[in-house]
Amino acid sequence: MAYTAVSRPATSVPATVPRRPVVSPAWRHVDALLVAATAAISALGVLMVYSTTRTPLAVAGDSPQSEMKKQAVYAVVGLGAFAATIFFDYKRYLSWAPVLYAGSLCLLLATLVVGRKALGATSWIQVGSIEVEPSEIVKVSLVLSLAALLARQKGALSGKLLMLVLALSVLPFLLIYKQDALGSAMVLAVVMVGMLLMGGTKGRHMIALALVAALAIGGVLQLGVLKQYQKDRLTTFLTAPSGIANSGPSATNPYAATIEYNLDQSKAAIADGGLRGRGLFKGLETNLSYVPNQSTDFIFTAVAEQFGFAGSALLLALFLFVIWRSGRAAVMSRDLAGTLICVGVLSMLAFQAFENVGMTMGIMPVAGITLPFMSYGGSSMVVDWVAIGLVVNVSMRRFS
Amino acid sequence: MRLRATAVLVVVACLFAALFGRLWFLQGVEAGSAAVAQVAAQGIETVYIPAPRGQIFDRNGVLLAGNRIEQVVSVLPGAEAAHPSIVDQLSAVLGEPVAKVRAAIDNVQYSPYQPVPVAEGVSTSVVLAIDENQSLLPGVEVQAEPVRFYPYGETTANILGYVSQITGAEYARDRNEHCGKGVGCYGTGSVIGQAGVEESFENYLRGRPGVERVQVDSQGHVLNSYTVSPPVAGDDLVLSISLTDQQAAVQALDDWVVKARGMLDHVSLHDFRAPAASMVVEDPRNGQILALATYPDYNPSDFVGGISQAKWSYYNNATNDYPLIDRAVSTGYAPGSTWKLITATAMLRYGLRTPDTVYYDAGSYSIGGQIFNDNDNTQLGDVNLAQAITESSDTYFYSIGGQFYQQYNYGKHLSGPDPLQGVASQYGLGHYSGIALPGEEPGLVPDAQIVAKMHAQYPKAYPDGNWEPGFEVQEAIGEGQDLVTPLQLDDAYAAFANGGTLYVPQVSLAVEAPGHSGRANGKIMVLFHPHVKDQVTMPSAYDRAAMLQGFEGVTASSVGTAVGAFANFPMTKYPVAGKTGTAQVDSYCATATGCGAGYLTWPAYKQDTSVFASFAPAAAPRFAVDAVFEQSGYGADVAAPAVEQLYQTLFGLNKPVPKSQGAGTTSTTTGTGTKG
Repeated sequence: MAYTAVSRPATSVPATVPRRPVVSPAWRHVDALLVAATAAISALGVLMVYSTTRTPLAVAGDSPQSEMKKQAVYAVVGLGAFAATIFFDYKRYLSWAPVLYAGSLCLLLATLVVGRKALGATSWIQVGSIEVEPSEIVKVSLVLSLAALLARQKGALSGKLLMLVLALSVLPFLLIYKQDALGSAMVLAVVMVGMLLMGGTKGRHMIALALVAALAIGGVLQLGVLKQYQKDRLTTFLTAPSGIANSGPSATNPYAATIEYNLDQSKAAIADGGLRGRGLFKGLETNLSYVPNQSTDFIFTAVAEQFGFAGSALLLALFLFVIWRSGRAAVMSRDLAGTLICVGVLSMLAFQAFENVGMTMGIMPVAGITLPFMSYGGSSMVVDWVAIGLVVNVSMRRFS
Repeated sequence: MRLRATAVLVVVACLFAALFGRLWFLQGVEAGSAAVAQVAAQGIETVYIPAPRGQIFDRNGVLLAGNRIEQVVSVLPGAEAAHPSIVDQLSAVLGEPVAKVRAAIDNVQYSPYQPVPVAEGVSTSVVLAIDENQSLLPGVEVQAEPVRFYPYGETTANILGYVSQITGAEYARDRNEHCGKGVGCYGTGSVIGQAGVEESFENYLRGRPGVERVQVDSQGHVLNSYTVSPPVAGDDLVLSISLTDQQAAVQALDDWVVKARGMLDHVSLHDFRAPAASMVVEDPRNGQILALATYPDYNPSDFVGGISQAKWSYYNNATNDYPLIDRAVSTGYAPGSTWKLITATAMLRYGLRTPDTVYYDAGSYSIGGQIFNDNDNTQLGDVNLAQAITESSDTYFYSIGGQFYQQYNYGKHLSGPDPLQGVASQYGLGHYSGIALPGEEPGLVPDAQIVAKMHAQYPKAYPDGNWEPGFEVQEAIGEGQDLVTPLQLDDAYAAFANGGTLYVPQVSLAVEAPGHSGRANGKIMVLFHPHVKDQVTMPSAYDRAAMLQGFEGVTASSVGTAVGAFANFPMTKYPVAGKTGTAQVDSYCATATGCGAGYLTWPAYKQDTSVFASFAPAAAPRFAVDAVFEQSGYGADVAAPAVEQLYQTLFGLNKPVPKSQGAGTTSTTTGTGTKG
């Protein structure tokens, strides 16, 4: 732009005018596409919660919109939490990590004492007038804690530190497992593995870790640590027919038969959508509440039945997009800590989306894992938005 | 580090590729499979909405059968077994004895997969009580249902029939044979006609039940319903029956049954039992039935919503003379001398005698060593045909029978039907009249073939397989094995009255589109035209006139058998042509010892059947009326005056006396047939 330089002599610039900052303000680098995609998923979630809850609520004599309104409020609160999360540099959060970790651990412990049981897990505690699910909160605090810990080593992880990371992860893992929320515990494990992988763990350590994990899983299955119904939940998807059974469950164990029945309903609802779907509020299985927990863990079936392959593929694409933008943020991060935060969130979202959707389609075990931004519930909605906030935080401050 | 990032990328890509693949398998491949359809259809239930049943009117538009909306309490099958306490609870709510409620629930007339109605027409307070106490009364429902009602009760019961909830067997048959093949389907709770025109015109009256698909969620809540097809009301039926004529006929039956029971039978020296009787009024010009009365009768309302066990036993008990049987169409009687119409027609047609041939009635006739006495052994002396009819000379007609037998015996080369039986067949005897009422009997007109067949089939009951002269002689006066229903007899006299045309007796005039209230709206869907069944080969006009003269003399001549019955009837204005009949059923023996084979003593002995067949006005007949009274003696004493009483109404000579409701039942209960 030579002509500008000519038309505007340098001398005309008043000395009092402050110089333009070399680095533009961080908010200008907010990943708007990521936020938009996440918001779109959340909005679809609110609509899906409505479609799955309106008839049961009406039958019960309640307002059909009541749960949809709650979910909309959760989404707005989540958006607020997102805004709050990106307000401060993530470096501060890293320094708060020990406090956050300890706090969420306390909440988990409290759950064991005063927790409320729902959907088979004792995961909720009452805080004032709202119910909180500490197993959701601990995901984010673990991501921050591990990121802080691993980043300090600048990519060279000693065996000793590895043990510390493992200890930090196993503690909440065991507490959540004690709550009977195996799915949430698995999320923590996946987050840990992802962050260790990208956090500079030595190759041999990774291999050793994999062997230990394999032995542990084998041991758990063999030594009867898991109760039969827990095993059934994990293995029924393997023993059930891959298609939709029309001759009743093949399992003889009543609990496995129940799961198989539920899976059949879930698969049938998805198949019922076909390529183009039945249309909003026209899903038969959805309207008749034949899919258990459809507004929470099985909300994907509502999308699949009402919007068909077109709609559900689009939803999966949105999740992939969110995961890709998180990976992009990880790669472009100004420091290792930022990268690790993004990897942690990415691992969490990718695993949850895969496990949840795979479960509804009968290719993954039935574990109580929510579909991020979609499943009815405040804790997961807010925590997931905070997680996205951390990613955006990292990506928007990549130049600072 | 780049390698690890790539690895993570590949893992995520593989996981999502698996999701897309699986999604495609379910939504692209599995979608539309039978299994999906089955799972998807699980929440849909089909419900049948009963269609209002067509109404039934008499020929003047008087409502004979209609629908009333009533609150019906019913119990779901299996509810009593699952919750035995509901019987006590329900009886408390209904205010009825426990035993009665239990009996209603256990009613075997209902199939195990339909709700059993326990109480109908219950009050609003009962409905509210049941609604409020649903937790105490699981399986008990209250629904507003159209309930059939019959304003004239017993008076029209045998014609209308009744309706009941479809039985399991009927439902299964409908599913297998008719349903879906151009005919609407019955639901498990559908109402179906079970007798009378309710049964025979079922396809017009039933309408089409509406079909509703109800969405039921996984908990069984009804979420919404959508109508596949709305119920279509059944068409209305207009009968040829005239209610006033029917009422008058029923009244005549009731009156004369009572009177007969006060008369002494000179054979058995007991009063007549008169357990059952029937009357038929037909328009000889077209075969339309104006009245069809039977005694004893029943109340069709007893069947609405399921008949009680006590009523059912009552109606099917011999001591109550089976009120469900319509004597007019379902019972064959020996017609006695009324049969002489057939013998006279055959005699003239085959030229055995001219009307003016004089025959000497010596009081008895003998053939093949057998002697046949006149009914009272009276010697009438010289009689021609008209006199033989008017005075009911048995020997005159015995001898005709004898002549026909001789023709048969010596002229087996003659082809064609036996003359007597052939004429009887043309008059419609021995086969179904074709009236649109269920349960009709064909009657029996024996001939050589039938006797041979009966003997072959039942050699003990019919030891003689030959056509004996006595058979033909007896048949010539309507005795022996002859069986004619009152309807057939009336048809035959109607055919003679109109000059020889035998019509299919017709009970229905038209099917009309359902009306809003009262009389149908007049749009005729089906018009039932008179249907000619047969043409009687009538003798010449001169010969027929002689017969007519004989029939007119029965009521008008001073020597006519029924002159007493018509003494007060305006014979000059409305000349009645008729014939009495006194049919012997059993041979009586006063003492238990010394009686011949086949003779019966009291009380096994059945008294004579009183019969009268007629038409009027004789020259241009508008009515053919007959009456048959079981165990009531002379036709002249009971049947003829009953017919005379009915003619008074038919010609508008008196005001019709409406039959009081329940009167029939009262007399049924007293008339157990053991009186005297």
